[in-house]
Amino acid sequence: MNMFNVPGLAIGRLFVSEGKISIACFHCGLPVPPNTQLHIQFNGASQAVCCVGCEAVATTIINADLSNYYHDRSAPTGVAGLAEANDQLAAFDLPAIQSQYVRTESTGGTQSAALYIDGVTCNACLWLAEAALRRVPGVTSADINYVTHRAEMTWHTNQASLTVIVEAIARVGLRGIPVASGERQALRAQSKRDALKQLGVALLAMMQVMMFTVPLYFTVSDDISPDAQSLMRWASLLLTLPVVAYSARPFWIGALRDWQTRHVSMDSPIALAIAATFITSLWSLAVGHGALYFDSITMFVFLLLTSRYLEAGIRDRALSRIERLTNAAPAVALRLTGYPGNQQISEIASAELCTGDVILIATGQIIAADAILLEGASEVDESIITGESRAVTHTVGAALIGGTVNLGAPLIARVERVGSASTLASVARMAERSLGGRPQLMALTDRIARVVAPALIAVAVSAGSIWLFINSSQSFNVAVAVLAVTCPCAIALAAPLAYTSATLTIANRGLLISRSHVLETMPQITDVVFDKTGTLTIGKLGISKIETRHDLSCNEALVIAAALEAGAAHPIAQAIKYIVGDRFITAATELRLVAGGGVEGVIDGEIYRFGHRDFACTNIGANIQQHDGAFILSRKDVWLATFHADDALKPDAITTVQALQKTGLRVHLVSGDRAAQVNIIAAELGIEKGHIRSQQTPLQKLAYIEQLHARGGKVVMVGDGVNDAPVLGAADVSIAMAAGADLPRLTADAVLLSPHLITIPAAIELARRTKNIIKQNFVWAIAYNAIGIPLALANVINPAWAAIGMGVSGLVVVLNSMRLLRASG
Amino acid sequence: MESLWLLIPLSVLLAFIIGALFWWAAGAGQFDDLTGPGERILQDDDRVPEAVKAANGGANKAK
Repeated sequence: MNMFNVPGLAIGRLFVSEGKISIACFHCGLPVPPNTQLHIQFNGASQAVCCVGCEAVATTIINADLSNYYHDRSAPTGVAGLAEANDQLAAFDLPAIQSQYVRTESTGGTQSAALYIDGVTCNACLWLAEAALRRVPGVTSADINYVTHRAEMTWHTNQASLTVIVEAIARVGLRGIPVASGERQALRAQSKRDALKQLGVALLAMMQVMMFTVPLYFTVSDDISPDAQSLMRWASLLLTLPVVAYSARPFWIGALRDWQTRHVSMDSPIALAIAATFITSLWSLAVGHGALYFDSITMFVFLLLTSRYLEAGIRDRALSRIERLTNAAPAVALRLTGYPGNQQISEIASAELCTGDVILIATGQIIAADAILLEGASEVDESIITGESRAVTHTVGAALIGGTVNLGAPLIARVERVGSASTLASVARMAERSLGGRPQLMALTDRIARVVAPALIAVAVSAGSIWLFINSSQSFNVAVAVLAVTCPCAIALAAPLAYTSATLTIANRGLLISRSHVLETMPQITDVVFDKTGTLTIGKLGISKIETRHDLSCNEALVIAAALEAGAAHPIAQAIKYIVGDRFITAATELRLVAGGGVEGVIDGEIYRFGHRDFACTNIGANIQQHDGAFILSRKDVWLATFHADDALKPDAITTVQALQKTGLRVHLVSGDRAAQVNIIAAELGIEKGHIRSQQTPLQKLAYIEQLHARGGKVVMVGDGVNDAPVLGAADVSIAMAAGADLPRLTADAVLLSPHLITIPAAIELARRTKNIIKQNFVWAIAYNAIGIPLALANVINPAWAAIGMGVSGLVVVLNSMRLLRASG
Repeated sequence: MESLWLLIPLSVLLAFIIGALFWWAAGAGQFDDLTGPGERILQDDDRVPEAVKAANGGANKAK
C-alpha cells in the first residue's frame, strides 16, 4: 500500500475496519478514502485528513493557536461540516430571529444569548468551542457548562453579532444552536439551586446539632456542668431555626397548598411532624425538662430533602432531553424561490416555512423541516432522532428529517411538514409524554397520598387520645412518633420513581416508551412477533440479478418495469427507480395495481405485467421454476425477464433473535411476503418452523396474535407501525420501528428510534429489573411501616428515632430506584 | 470546662458563617457545573503568548 509512504507522515494513525487497514483522518478519525491526498501540517509533520471539511477545520484550529485541542481530546471529532456558504449565516441577524434568541442587556450596550454546542465528542471539544468564542472580537464573556453543553455569551452590540459567533463555532467544526431564551429553563435552574441551598443548610445544621446532642445522650453524671448542657441545648435550637424556617420551606408550602385546596398530600403529615416536634422541643427547653428533638428534626428534613433532590435530578435529566429535541430545528432556512427555473436564494426564519417551499441545505447546515430530497445526494447525521452516530446516506426521493444535519454536499429539498406536524415535534411530544411523565407520576403518588396521609393523621391523633388514658404524659410523644415513623413516601415513590428511571435509561438507548403500561407488561411477555420487511430487514430491496429472454437487454427490461411501477410505492418500485433514475422513462397507460400480485399496464398497445409469478406469468417455462420469490416481467402472459431482489437482514437481527430466545421467549415471524423469502430469512435467524407465517394479510396477522393470546401468551409485536397499526393494537405491547419520516403517523406503545434491534431484548431485560426493584421497594416500605408503626403505637421508639427511620426509609427507595439509571448490568 | 462557654458559641457562629457561604455559593451558581473548571485547568494553554514573551524577555533573562 503506497499510502504508508506518504512523505513526512510522522505518526502512523491507522483505522482498522473489517480486516482492512487505512489511515485515520487526523481530525475526525474516520478512514481516509484511498484516492484522497489532503494533508495538513501539525507540529512540523504532515497529517492526512479525509475531506476538505476536515482540512479547513483542522487548519483553522491550528492557525488559531488552538492546537492543544489535538493533545487533550480523548475522542476524535465527528466529520466536520464545511461551512462554506457563510452568507447563509447572516440570516441570524433577521429581526424575527434576533427577538427570539438575543437579549439586549440594559447596561453597557451589550447583548447576550445562549447556544447549545452540538457535535461534542469529549470535553476538549467544549474547551475548543469556548476558546473560539472568546477570540471573537467584541465578545466579553463566554462560558460553557460542561454538563449541559450550554454556552452563555455576552458581546458588545456594535462589535459582534450572533451570526459572527455561530460562524466562529462552525469554523472549528462544531455547531452552535441558538437556544430560545426560555423562562422555563431559567426557572428550573433557579429551583435546582434553591433545592441545593436548602439541602446544604440542613446538612450543616444536622451535623452541628449532632455535635451538641450526642454528648448529652452519653453524659453519665456531671461530666458536663448543667449550665453548659443548657448552653448546648440553646445552641441546638439556634441551629435548628434555619432548618425549620428555611430548609423545610417546601413542606410548609406544600402543607399550606393542601390546606387551601382541601386535599391532603404527602407534605401535610411531614409538616405536622416537624411542627409538633419543634414546638414540643421549644416547650421542653423553656420549662427546663422534657425531650428535645432538634437532632431528629434536622436529620428528618435533611434525609427528606436528599430524596427529593435525587428525584428531581432524575426528572431534570429527562426534561433536558426533551428540551434538546425542541431546540434542534434551526432558526434560519434558505428558501429557493422560482425553483426549478430561476433559483433565487432568500433567507427566512424557519418558522415561516410552508409545505411545498423548496429549500437549499448547505453543507454542515441543519435541515429546517421535514422534506423530500429533490436534488443532490449526501450523508446526513440523524443522531438527534435515532441516537445512532453513523451518518445515513440519502439520495433523490429520500425523506429528510428536520433537525438532522447535512454533512455532505448541498441539497435541494421540498418541504413536506413544518411546525407541530414535523417529525421532530412529534418525537419531542412523544418524549414529553414518556419522560416528562410528571402527570402520571404525580397521579399515582397523589392517589396513594390521598388515602394514606389523612389515615396517618387520624391514626396519630387516635393513638394520642388512647395514650391519654394509659399515660397522659406520653400521649403527645406517641402521636408525634406515629406521625414521624410512618413513611408513606417510601410506598408512594416505590413504583413511579423506578419507572421514570427505567424509561429514561431505555430512551437513551433509542426506545421511546409512550404508554405507561409497557414496563409493567414487558416482564410477563412470552412471545415476540416480528414483521419482516423494514423490521428485521433493512426494508429496502436491492436488485441483485436480472435474467432476460435472449432478445431483450437488461436495460430494456428495466425501462419497461420502471414505466409499470411509475406510480407504485412498493419497495421493488423504489429499487428499480434507484437504478433507472430519471433516464429513459417510457410512459405506460391503463396502469392497474393488483394487491398481492403486481402491476399491469399498456405500453405501445401491448399489455405488460410485472409482479409475482402467479400474477405475471401463468405458463412460465420449466427452466425458471425456482424463481419463487422473484419478480417476473411478462408481455401478454409470455415471460420476458426475472428480477431477483434481496432485502438484507439488519446487522443485529440474528443477535437480537438469539438474545430473545436465550431468555426463554418464543420468537415468531409473520410477514406478508412470499413463503420462499420468509423461510430463507427465518432459517438464517434460527426461528422455529412452527413460528413462521408467510403471505399474511393484516387480518390474518391479527388472528395469529389472537391465537397466541388464546394459548395464554403475552405478545410483543414489532412492526413498522404504519401498515401494521391494527395488528400492533392487538398485541400486549407494540413496538414500532421509526423508519424516519413516517414517525408522526405511528401508533404504538413504544417507538424504536434507534436502528439497533438489540435494544428490544435490552428493554425487556430492563423491564424485568424494574419489576424486581419495585418489588424490593414495596417489600422494604411495607416491612418498615409494619414494624415501625406498632412500635411507635406501643411507645417503644421515641419521635427522634422515628424521624430518622422515616428519612432513611425514603432514601433507601430512591437510591434503589436509581440503580436503574445505569444502562447495563 | 470553662472553655465550652467560648467554644460552643464559636462553633455556632462558625456553622452560620459556613452556612451563609454555602448559601451564597449555591445561589451564585458555583455548583451548576462541577466538571468544567477541573477540565479547564488541564486544557488551558499555559504557553506564554509571543507578544508577552517579547515584552518580558529581558526581565525573565535577568532572573
